[in-house]
Amino acid sequence: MSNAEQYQGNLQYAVDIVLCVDATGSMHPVLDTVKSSALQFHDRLDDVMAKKGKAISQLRLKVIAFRDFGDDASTAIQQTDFLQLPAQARNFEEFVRGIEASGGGDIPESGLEALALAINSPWETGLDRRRHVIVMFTDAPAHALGTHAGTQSYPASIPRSLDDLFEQWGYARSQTAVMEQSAKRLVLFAPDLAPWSDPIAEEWDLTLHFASKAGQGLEEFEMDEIIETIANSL
Amino acid sequence: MTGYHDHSAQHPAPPGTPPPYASEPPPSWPQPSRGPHPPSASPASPALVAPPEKAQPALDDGPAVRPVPQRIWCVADDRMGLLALSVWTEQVPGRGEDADPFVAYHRESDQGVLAVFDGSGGAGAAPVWQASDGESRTGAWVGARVARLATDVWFHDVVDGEPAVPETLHDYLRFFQDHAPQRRSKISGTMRRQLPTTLASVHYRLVRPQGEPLLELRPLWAGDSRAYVLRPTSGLQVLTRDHTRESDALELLRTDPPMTNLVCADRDFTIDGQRLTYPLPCVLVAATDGFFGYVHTPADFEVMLLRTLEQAGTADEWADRIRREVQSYTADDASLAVVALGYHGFQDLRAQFTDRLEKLADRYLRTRPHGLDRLSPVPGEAGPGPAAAPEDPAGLPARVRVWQDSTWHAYRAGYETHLPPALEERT
Repeated sequence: MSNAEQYQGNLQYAVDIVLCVDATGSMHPVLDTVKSSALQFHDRLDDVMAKKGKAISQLRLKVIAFRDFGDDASTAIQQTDFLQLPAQARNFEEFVRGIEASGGGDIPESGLEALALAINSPWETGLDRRRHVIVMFTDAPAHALGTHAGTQSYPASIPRSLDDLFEQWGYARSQTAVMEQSAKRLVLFAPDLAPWSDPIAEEWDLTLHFASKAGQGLEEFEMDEIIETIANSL
Repeated sequence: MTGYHDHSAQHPAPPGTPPPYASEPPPSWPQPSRGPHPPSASPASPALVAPPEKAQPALDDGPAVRPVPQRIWCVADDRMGLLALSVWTEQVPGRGEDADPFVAYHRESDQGVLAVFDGSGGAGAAPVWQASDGESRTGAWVGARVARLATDVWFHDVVDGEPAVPETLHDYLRFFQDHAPQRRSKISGTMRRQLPTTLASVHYRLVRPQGEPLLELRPLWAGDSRAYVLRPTSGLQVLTRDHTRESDALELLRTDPPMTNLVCADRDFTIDGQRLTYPLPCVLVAATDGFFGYVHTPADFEVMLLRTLEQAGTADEWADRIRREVQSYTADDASLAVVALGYHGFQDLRAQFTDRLEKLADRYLRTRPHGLDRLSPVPGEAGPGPAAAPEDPAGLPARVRVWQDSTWHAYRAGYETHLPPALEERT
């Protein structure tokens, strides 16, 4: 804490956000919007939070771009570490600008693998009023976990079933959760299809789900609405 | 009787909402085959304490530069030994999701209720209703006001014999929520609620089991707003348990966890309750988390109430000082209702809490780490303890944490005297 005058202890929010971005071909029409909005994310979230009278003591962003292990395992996952904003804004910008919408093969994508990686992120454990938010942007259903477990570069740490992933997400008095119950949130911009709507949005706790139309990108969502939703979930 | 009501931001009511204490229900009001009926009591009978119509300016805010989103209201009736006030503020002008606090007292039956309602913005952020002025209102905004209306009607019927128990309040809330404006949202998920709001209330009744008057208290609540009882000897004691997985008040300050139960229109909810008797005189308090959720240690809320009481010359001034104080530290909408019973006027009330405030100042103000906030002691004036240690800005968070732990340890036992067990721990 460099400035004791500004210290507000437990009254500020330490926010970690993992953006899981579907970078397959069908996202092409909307990916530029998602990317440009992601680049403004820090300022806009700060602005919305300030309007709500809530201060952020620390903001870290991590991006996981995903495609399909069944199509091309070498490009299925690209990700950053947690980047502290605004200090590491340049690293964040370079990564986001480099995401290209391509590939994907069949309709389902490897969104659950991305979600598993997000859940197991190295979340902030110090500071007070922590918020650990996963935001999923996709217009497709997901392959069942483990479907492509034998492929090259498939992360060994990923649970082999949705039930196992649910155990990691956790629930009331869960002993297996890897995320903090009071901090975690899951915001889905995903089609009204399994597994996003059912079981994840319906059964996992602390979820918000914007249903998009499968295969039609996420055009119907304004970034203002997305930012507002994330800020409201904190 | 004194009172003023400063409206810098007047909110239109949801459609179908009758004015408070309307003599006739609106013709279109839905009537259940069995259950609550709309507000029907006239101002003459029963004698309920309601906010006055006349607005007056707040105390010494200086020249009006911009509208201050706040309202205060108070009433003092020395004959009844009753003093009541409420404070309502909003963080963003025109966007406040707390409803006006509800305070009512029925003289003939010696019973009353105070309640606060905090519309839950995270769960009910979507617009559900457009007011006649074109302003769009969120589900949280509407939910809090509908719950207030339901509580108002419920209390009218309690006066007429309806039992003041969680089950009846639940039925009234459910009925009004079912008939309130709702809009299908494109957002779903388990965080999502229709018309979500907290409710913290205390129904009280004067009883004389053996000649001596006692208060029979029935705290009723859902969510993380709180009700308390405050006395000079025992301080502030919480009567409600937040509906969160965590129940330690300091940990709740540090983590601000999600609620596990709150009033809403689309899912089951529980109205929690307990029953106890309490000696007179005492002060009852209901508050939303804008008051107690942005302090550094749980004792700070009581310190704020008593410091403003000590500085005030009248009940009106106390309300206004509370309003200004909470606006100086909160990051949320904040509403509060206070009812003091059995004191011989405001001066008596203030005098009785002087020693308690001095004790709190010794324990929680003079020990405060330097640099924490504006309440920190001036260097050189601090007493013994952590505040007297050499100051190292980098070590401030750790010192604050130690101070929070030790002050909470000292405060906790008294504060939790009437903390009810968790729902799942009750038979």
